[in-house]
Amino acid sequence: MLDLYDCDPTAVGSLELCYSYLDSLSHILGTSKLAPPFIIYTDENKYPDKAGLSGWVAFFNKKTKTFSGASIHTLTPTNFVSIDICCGNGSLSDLKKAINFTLKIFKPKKIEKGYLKRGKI
Amino acid sequence: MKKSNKKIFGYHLAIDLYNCDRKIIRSIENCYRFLDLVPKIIKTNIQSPPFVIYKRNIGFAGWIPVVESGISLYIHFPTNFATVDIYACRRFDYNEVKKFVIDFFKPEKIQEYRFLRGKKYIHPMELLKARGLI
Repeated sequence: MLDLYDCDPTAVGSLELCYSYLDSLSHILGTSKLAPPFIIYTDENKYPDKAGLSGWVAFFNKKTKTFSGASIHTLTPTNFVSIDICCGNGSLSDLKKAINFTLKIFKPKKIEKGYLKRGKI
Repeated sequence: MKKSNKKIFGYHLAIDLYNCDRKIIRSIENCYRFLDLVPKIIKTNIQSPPFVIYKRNIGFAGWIPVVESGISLYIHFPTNFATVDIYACRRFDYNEVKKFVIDFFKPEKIQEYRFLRGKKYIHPMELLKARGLI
């Protein structure tokens, strides 16, 4: 879980960049995409304080035969980005690579990170 | 003392569901319906209908974007396992949603996690004030 503050404004509002970001994650995480990413703009006239983009991509891990995915939510009024990356193989080094990639793309001034193991039982 | 203009951005409930009802989780209609219903329960505004992807003998992956963030669901047929993430930038009743999720998938066991997201978030109006623009 990544919450990114004061990101690069050109990245936060760019559909092309956010799409490419989601599209590239599967490669970085060493997994496959189930389908191309879905991404949409939030209606800035209707929701001016929530203007930005929402996107999702689903992964399929061939080794574990499990699904996972990544989602992104950006807010252009505050240059805030919130990302969840769920990685089916649980590799910490792959997750680190994904975090570094995320920081390179969005260039936040401040970040909050959270890490959680899912499906432990 | 200067009052802080920071506030929580969002509320995130993650639930792992073990040994769910076999019939329920194998239905794409149920998965779609689940994603369609959760935004109504947490009183958020949907941005599009749900997306659900099916892979034979493996399961479903689904997502619905809401203006206030999004809801995702992953289902694994071989283990009857489901994992749900509900994230919204408005407060919702965690217990009410948890009850709905349990009633829907009927798992034998669950694990839940609650998070506050964007703890240093500054609301756009506060940001404009801080920058002396309003």
